[in-house]
Amino acid sequence: MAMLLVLGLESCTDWLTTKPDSEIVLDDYWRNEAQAQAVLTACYRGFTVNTDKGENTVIDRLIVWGELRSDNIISGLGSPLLRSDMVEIMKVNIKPSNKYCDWGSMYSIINNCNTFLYYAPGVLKSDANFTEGKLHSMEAEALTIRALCYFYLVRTFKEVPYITTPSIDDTQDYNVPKSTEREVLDHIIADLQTAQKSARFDFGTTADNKGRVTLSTVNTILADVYLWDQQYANCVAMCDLVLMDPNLELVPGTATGNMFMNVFYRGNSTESIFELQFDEQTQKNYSAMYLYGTSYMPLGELSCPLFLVKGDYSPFDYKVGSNLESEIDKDSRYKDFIDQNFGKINGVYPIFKYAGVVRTEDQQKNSSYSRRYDTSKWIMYRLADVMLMEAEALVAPENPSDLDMQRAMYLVNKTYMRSNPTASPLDISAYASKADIEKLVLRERQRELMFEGKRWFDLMRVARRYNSPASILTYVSPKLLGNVLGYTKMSVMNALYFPIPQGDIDNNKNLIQNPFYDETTSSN
Amino acid sequence: MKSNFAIILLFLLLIVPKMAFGQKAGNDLLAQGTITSKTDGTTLIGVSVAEIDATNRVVSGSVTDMNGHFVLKLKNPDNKLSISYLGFIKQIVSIGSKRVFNIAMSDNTHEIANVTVTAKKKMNQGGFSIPTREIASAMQTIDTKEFEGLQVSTVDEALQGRIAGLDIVSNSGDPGSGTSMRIRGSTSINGNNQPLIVVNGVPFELNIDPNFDFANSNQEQYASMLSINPDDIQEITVLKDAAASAIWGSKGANGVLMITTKKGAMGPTRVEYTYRYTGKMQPQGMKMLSGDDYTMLMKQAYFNPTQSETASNVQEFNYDKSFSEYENYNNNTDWVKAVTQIGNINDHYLTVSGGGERALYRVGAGFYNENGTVIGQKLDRISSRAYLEYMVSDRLKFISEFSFTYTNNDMNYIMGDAPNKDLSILGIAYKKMPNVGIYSQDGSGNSSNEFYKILENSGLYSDQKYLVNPVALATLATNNKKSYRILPTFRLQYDLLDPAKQTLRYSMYVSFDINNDKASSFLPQEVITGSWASSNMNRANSTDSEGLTIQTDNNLAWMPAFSNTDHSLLLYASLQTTSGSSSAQGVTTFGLENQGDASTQGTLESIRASHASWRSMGMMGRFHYAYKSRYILDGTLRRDGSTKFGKGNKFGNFPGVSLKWIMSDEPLLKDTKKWLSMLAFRPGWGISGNQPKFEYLHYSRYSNYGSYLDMPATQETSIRLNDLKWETTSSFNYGVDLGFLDDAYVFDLNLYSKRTKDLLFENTSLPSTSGFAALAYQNAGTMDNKGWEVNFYANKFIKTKNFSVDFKFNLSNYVNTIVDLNDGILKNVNNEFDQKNGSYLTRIQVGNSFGSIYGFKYKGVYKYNEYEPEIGHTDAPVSRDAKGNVNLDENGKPTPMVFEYNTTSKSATYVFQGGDAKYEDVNHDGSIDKLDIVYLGNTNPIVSGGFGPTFRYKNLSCNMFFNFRYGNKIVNIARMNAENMYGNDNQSTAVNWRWRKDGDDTSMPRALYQYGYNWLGSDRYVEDGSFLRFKYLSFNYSVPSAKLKKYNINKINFYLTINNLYVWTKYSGVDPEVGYGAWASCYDNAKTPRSKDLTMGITIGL
Repeated sequence: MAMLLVLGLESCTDWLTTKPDSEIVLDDYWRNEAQAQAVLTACYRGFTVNTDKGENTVIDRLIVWGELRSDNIISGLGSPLLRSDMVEIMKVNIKPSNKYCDWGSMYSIINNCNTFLYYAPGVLKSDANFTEGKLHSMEAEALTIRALCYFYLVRTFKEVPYITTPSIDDTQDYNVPKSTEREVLDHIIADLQTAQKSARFDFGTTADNKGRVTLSTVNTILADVYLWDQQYANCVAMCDLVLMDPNLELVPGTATGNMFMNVFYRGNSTESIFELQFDEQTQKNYSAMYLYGTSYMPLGELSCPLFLVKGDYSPFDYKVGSNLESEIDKDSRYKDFIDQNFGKINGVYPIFKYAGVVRTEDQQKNSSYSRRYDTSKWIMYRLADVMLMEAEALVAPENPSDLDMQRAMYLVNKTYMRSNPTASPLDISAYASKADIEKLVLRERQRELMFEGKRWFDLMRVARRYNSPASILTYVSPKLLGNVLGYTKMSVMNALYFPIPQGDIDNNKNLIQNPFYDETTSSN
Repeated sequence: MKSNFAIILLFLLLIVPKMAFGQKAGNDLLAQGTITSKTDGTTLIGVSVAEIDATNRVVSGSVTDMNGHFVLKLKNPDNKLSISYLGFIKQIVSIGSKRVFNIAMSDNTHEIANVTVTAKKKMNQGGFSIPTREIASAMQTIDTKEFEGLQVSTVDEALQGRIAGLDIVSNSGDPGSGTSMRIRGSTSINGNNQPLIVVNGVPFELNIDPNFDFANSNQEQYASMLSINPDDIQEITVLKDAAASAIWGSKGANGVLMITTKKGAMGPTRVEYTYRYTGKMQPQGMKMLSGDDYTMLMKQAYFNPTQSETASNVQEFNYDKSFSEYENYNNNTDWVKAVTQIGNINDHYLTVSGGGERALYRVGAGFYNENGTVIGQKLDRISSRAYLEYMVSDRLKFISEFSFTYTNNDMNYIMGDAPNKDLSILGIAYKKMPNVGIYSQDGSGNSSNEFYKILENSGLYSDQKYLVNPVALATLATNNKKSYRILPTFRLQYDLLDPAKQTLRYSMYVSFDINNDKASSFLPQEVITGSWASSNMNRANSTDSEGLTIQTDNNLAWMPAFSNTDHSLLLYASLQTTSGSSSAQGVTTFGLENQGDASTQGTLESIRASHASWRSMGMMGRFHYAYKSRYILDGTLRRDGSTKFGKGNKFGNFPGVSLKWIMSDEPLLKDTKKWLSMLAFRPGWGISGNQPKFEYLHYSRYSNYGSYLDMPATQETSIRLNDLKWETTSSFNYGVDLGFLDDAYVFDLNLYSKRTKDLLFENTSLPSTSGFAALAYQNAGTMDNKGWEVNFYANKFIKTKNFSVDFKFNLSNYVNTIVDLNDGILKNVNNEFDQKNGSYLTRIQVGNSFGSIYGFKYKGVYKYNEYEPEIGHTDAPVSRDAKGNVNLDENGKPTPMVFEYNTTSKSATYVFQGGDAKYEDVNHDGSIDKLDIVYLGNTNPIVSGGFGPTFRYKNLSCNMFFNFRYGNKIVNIARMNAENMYGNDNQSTAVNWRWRKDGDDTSMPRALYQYGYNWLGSDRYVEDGSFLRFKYLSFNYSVPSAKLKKYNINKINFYLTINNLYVWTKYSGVDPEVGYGAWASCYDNAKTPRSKDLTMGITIGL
């Protein structure tokens, strides 16, 4: 009997070990290329995943972080439930508990990249078909995605914990302190430079070339990082590399909005560089749907302010001397990106970019708008953006050369002329100073890239360049009319960054709140 | 599975050969004979003649024919013949060489002389039975006879208030919603807190994979007790201290509820039928505003913030006939009345039982049908339980149990989105605007038969616009759950030695638990305001789950025979295994074209599937030693292993020791025995455990993460928990048993102190920079529970020939203290004040108990807007110093009272005005902010308990029971929501006393739509939750059997019970018995209240 018991106990530990059926445990994973690819795919998937029916998606954050505080956006009314956290941000009343301070979805992507980068080299040993070449090109994708995530974080929060180790078990120390902005930017640049060495040119299909990281994607992101980091010459060099990519080409513009349909409705156009691939079934882009609208809800939760449509603050109603730089009815972007019909009737201007299929114009030049039933892909970078990044980098230095300013004008005209085919090209003589051209580039970026998650960072770059929020305030002042407190807050450089999410402050004892939001200095 | 059976087989092989194949092969021997009656010599037909071996096991048998003749093929001439016939005395004769047996049987109608039988009542705990008086641990047993005639769907409802230290609170008054039970408080903070339920020695647990997301079904509604029919229960024993519950090891930390079901009894077949009818009524809740009062309030609420007529120009409140929906907004609907009804219960129960020498049986079947007090709720249950015990011989016994339960529960649909999120039908009815009608009306005010829903283009604020019509929701939406549960158990018991000399008994059981659930719900478009894109539109969800658990137990009990009878010893060893698996799958779709299930055409929202399997084993040794039956020592050691933990932490040890000294039996106290019949001390100590809900926690797991560009994605979904251990509770119990006057008055006192270490915390948040929101589990702290319990019985303390009175009383208290807690968790729970209306601070401090409420002090309403002391207007919103003097600014003007003054921007979030709520400015800084938040009370009662007498007069008995709680605070959220005047929700009639104009003297602030700080979390909504409930009054009359004999009826009983008769309380809500939420918070959210019931019943026995 005793013998039996001893024998029994020996086998007990085995008997008491079960493994899950529907999941694979770490010890059994990382055996072949397909498993490595699946985790790399998860890095992309992190951008498109939607939980809570779109309430907590990455795209929500790209819009909130990149647009919400800018002059491009005010509340819409078409929402089933107004999201109060968005309203608070627009009122410049940002608390660390605000849902959109939550950066978890970004760090989840980062963790997937870290996991991939940590374990994938080990697969070389167990899978003979998995070559070093394949490994490095996949690593380039993971490094780039991680760099892109940190780039969003560093632009939004300024100082963030920089983590490159995967989260595996509960014995690790997760209380990682913030790294300085410099450190984070240096890491981003270094990773992207590594990625440049082995990133792929071509994945074979259009969808993969747009949906995954190619060499041009790496160069584009690096250009954007250099621009943010005020390394203008490097930025120009990177942009030039992208502009030389033979696979990329601006979609030609026509008055009836073919450019709109190709770029924003069909997606994966020739000018698209990196585009998140949503679909109509399981990976819906709920953010674009709820925030910008669909055929069910013409007016999304967000809308475009009237002062952007007409008046002194409108880039479409802008005078250079006595001439209009952009004529309201002539610039097709004015009618393509904003639903003017609805706006004229209701006084609220719905965003049409991403929400629409096509705008058609009859002989009397009356537009009619048709909206999509399904969801759109999301463009992270496209060629027009790169052109205008280069234009900005060319005129940003203190004393740009005439040649650089002319090249900037040339680049601005590329996108300008596409949407104003009947107008004559903008002439440098009308823009006397460097500052004028700089503002022109900013305006052209706004006209071209509005609602694409770019505007706030554009404004931030200018503020950083002059180390003053004054320029931002001039643009957003009509939005803050009557909101004295909001205006006062925005006059502080540090307030232009988001606070570290309260959840992380509570859970991570080494994390210090960002300066403007530090309890001890701001409240009584 | 395989190895499981291997263990059973192994034991069977060891033991069975002896008995099964140990017979001597006999020759073909025939015995025959005639059986006659001794009294009249007639031959007897149908007499059973059996050949039995030395252990009385029947090896062959025969029956006499028409002539009283029998022939029997003998197996072994060493055996004996047993001749038995109903009404005659059984005879046993040796066979030997004899082959003809002519036997005359004498009938047994002769008188039996008075015989006194003395036996010690024994208590059986999982195959280990010891005399009740020798029990050294804290436990309490209750016989279900005590609540005969009471109408309950589950037995836990009947136990409420009955057992000292067992706190039971109904989850809600909805049918089948279950209760939450706590034995001696919460030992775990967010591990499992429900006690372990054991039915006839087999743990009874619901085996559904807890990882599975059931979409919109509320986990609380899984009342597993529903699958035990209270009518099948004989008695319930509650094991309270760890010395007793250590035998259940890793599952026993929350205490154990041992249920023993009824078994057959020797005798003729008895048939018994019981029928009970219950009518249920909901108690009156808050009185809500009529449509007219409501619209007047709304107009004021819209006008007040900016004093603007435009703001208050809302067409839904205007009674403007030109408004196309005018007729739909001019009503006075009592929504609460519209959704409530008189509920009823029909409960049928039939049993057949009986048995002879060799076999006992009992078969019971019940049909239960309940209609709730809220419309759209219906519960059906069919249950059946069969018990069969067969004694093969004096030493070998088989027992088979089989139970089957089918429940079909039609519940109200619970929506997952704001503003209806998680609201019950009643909750919606309290909020719904009363000027809207139930049915839509045409232009001339004629009602159609279509439910009215607010139109999509209405300008109303979303909290009303999207709040559904509760009558439509209850009538049209479906939420059904069907479950089948089958539990067969097979037992075997074999005495290895002759039981007459010494007990060495091997017992085993195999028990299966098969559980199948099917849940389906549908939310039709007729209920929803919203666009077709809404995921609530024609939304269907269906979930199927099934689980199988197999439990085995093999044990040996040995009671050595001592020549010195002063000693008695019982040794016991057992090996238990559990293995189970469950799988579940579910589909959620929306936008379905027609009514239908989730599998038809629509937009697929999610497909869920899960599968899990688990195993655990326990090895246990116990002993019970008694010297002179008055010095008793008990010991247990159990070692548990589970698949839930990783290497190194798989096994846990759970010891228990208890002592008892029955002092009153000492010769020294012989003289006092006359009045002090019992005095005993019982110290005990033990450790029991608790485990996490989930499997596979010790793995870093990779699972499917959808796809991107048609490539499948996989990601790490869990952080490996290397450190996870069992949560262990070690407890000391000091008990005293006191009995006076031959145990006519019995006291049972217990004092305990428990310490729970390695507290299991579920979902402990991680810095999100890890890429994960939380760790699935963590051992995060230490907690103490100290308390005492008093139980008192007076058995027939008043007694005359026809009349007697019993009385019972119990009282208990416990204090919970956090000894140590992980910093991260503390920080997370202890949130900063969010500066929003309606929120209370939860504060957990090491060294304090939880359940404390913090908030502002409410001082009424500012009577005047301007501070003008010259005309007596001093009660205005101005800041005052500690002495009560008004603070003046540099211009000599009084500084106003503000909310959240910011010293940097020199501005405040809000400036208080006349008619606003007045909060105490504790630090006198002129600003109401987080520094003015103070302690407002605790949600834990000082004492709770129950008492009640039983009166018996001849065949009539009357049973009363009261339960009470004293000294606890409740946050009345329901009242807060009905008095805040902040949104479009309907309000209670109390707001008619609101401040309307300067000088109004009231404690109800003015109406402010989405503005101001009139309902900050303050003591205004914190109420005393003490109560005394007349829980039931029950009459039971049994018709004297003498009158029934001529109808061949055994018994007829009549019952009449009034449940929830009256509640004495100062609490203003519907029901002061509110369950605990997280951190012992106690928020009354107006769940369906306990109803008042009247039950009539009858039992007929044949």
